[in-house]
Amino acid sequence: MKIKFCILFFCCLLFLTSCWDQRLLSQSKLVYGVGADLEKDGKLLVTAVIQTIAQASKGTSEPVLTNVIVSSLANTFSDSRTKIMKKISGEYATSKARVLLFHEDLAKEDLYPVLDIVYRDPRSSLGAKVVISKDKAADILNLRVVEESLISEEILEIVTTAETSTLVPEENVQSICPTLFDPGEDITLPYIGKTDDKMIDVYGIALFNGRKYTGYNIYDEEPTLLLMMKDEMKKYAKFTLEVNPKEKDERNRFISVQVKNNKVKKELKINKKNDITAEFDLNIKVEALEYPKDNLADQKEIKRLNKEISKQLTKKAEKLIKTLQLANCDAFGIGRDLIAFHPKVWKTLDWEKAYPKITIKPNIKVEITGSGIIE
Amino acid sequence: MKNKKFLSRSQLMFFILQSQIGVGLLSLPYMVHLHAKNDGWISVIIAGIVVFVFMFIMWSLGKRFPNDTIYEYSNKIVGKYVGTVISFMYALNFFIISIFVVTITVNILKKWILTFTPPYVIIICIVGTGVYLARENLKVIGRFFTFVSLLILFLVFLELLSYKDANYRYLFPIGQAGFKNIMIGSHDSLTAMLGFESLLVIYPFVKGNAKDVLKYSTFAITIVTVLYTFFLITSFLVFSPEEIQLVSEPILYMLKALSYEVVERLDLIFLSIWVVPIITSFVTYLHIASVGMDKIFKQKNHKKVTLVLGILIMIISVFIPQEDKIIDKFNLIVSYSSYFFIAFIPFILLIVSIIRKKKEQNQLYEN
Repeated sequence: MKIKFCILFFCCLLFLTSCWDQRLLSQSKLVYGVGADLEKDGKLLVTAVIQTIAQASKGTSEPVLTNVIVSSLANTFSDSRTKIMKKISGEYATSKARVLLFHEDLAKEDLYPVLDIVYRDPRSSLGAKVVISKDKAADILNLRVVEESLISEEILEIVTTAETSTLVPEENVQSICPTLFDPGEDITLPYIGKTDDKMIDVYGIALFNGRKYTGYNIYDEEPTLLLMMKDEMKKYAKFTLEVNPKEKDERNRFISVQVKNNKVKKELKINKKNDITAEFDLNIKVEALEYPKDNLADQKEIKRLNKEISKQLTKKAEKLIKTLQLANCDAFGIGRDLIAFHPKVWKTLDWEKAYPKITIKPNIKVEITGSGIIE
Repeated sequence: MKNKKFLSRSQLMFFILQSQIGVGLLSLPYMVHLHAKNDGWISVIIAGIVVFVFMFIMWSLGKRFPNDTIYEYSNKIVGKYVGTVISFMYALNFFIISIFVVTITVNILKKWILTFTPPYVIIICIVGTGVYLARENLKVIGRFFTFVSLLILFLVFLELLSYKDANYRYLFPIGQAGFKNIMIGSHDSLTAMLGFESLLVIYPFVKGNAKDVLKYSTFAITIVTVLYTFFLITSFLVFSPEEIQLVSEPILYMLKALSYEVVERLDLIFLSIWVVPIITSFVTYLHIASVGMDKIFKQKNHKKVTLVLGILIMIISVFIPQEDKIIDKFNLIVSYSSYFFIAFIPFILLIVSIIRKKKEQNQLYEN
């Protein structure tokens, strides 16, 4: 009995020594954001934002979070990890990365090669946001602190806020992956930049064709419109439109509306000559947020506004579609619809060439259903 | 020798369920997609029907010999020598499959969580726990299997979370892969559904008549087929057809991207729980292999045999290199050889026993 006990005891000891796969938080340098730029010689300039806890200089007050920005010139992402690892103490842990920032020139080459390591590494964080930047990623990350918050958090916050306002699509590393490989749909990503007063601004949406950034972007109301046509409206969506161009006071010319309800109907029509027409019927219910001219109690006025807003939004949607087709970015996934429901037509098509030529008709109907707490 | 009735009817169901569900599911969507494309879910349903047919053959055999395992009635049907050879082949097959289960599990665990842990440590942990359970009689095993079946509900819940990224259009057009490819896909998914052949051994231990056995085994197979179809459709909805070709464990991969306020990396949670269904299928194979060896070598009980087999499995698994190429080959061998054991031999035995009118004499006295 005693011998048995001893054997068991020692066997248990064997498992207590240590673990091969332990990664102590205190020994790892957590990377919160990574930026990549394309250098002139084709190399990557990778900038990593590492968050560390610095002891406050005065006495025993609370420790402060700070950013350490490390850059390295490398051939690939994995190479950059090795090079950055040499510069910092502890393990370079990307498992908590929240933001991946790519400069537009790099995105124009091909997005997949720089994302490959994120997909392949079992420890990487697939929930990170992918963002395209107009300015050099290194410059943006080197702002270090914006609005009193650390740069990686700031970008994440800004993009997340823009997502809730339906300004940029809600995407992360994994969610873009199916679309990135899908021949029948293209991705769109948030497009940000650095303003002159050292702030970060979400400009709009960057349009992709396949795995490459096209160089075309959409701005202002168009991103919201695009996302609404894709039926991806989040919590808020606002439009400000000029409805009374003849009014003297500049302020009186405009109305701001907030979308309450959005119904999308998409219909694909294919005639015998294989001409494809996609029709988007949107039924939007809005609430007036701001209308200085203030005669919303009048039913006639509301009817006129409904008509005017519908007309203007439809026009904007037409312009948006023109840009999309110019960029050859099938953001609506019309190709995927063809694969799924008209496979025979799809097989005869070269979608790359066919997509810019198809007809996409937006038809937006707006109805004002509320006017805030005053009439 | 009279076999004791250890398993209740519902325990039989959970026994087959737990034996079937195992490590194969994790890469099932990927494997099926290789041929059947996004019609893979049809393949799984077809595979479920095929499994039912095979199970029916086994059941008809068991019905004729309600007090014997395959190790005993093979002797009665085709004579002592051929019967012993068949018994030995079965025991060996179950033994090899248990090695296969261990190898694949180690491979996946190493890939996903324990990158630097030496394989022998994982093997010791899996085989150690497996032997500990497989040494017991079917009553204990059956109760344990019933209990851990609760975990499956939790796993289904985890998978449901990934529906927020689903795109239903990826499933269409239905039937795009063509009949032939869908059938090849069924073959791929059949490998992940193995485990129901344990019925050959556990049949005499079930309380209840032949009808009950058929009913509850069919329940088990139906549940597994529905569950697999669900898992498959989920991963086909989340991944586009072009992407799934790159992801070898889609079920885990799609959980990796989910992130909530308090919890992240759900794939690790999933895998930690999934180890239990994996070990249960390992236990099943180890148990039925040792019962067979025990009968062949005329041992008193299977406890010692289980231990010996366990140690053998440990040694052999340590020497199998953890390389994708070798594991793929292993998979190929197991998937083809299993037809021999789950379809061919039971069928031949059934035909021979019908022709030679071999039947358990005291069958009438059983209910």
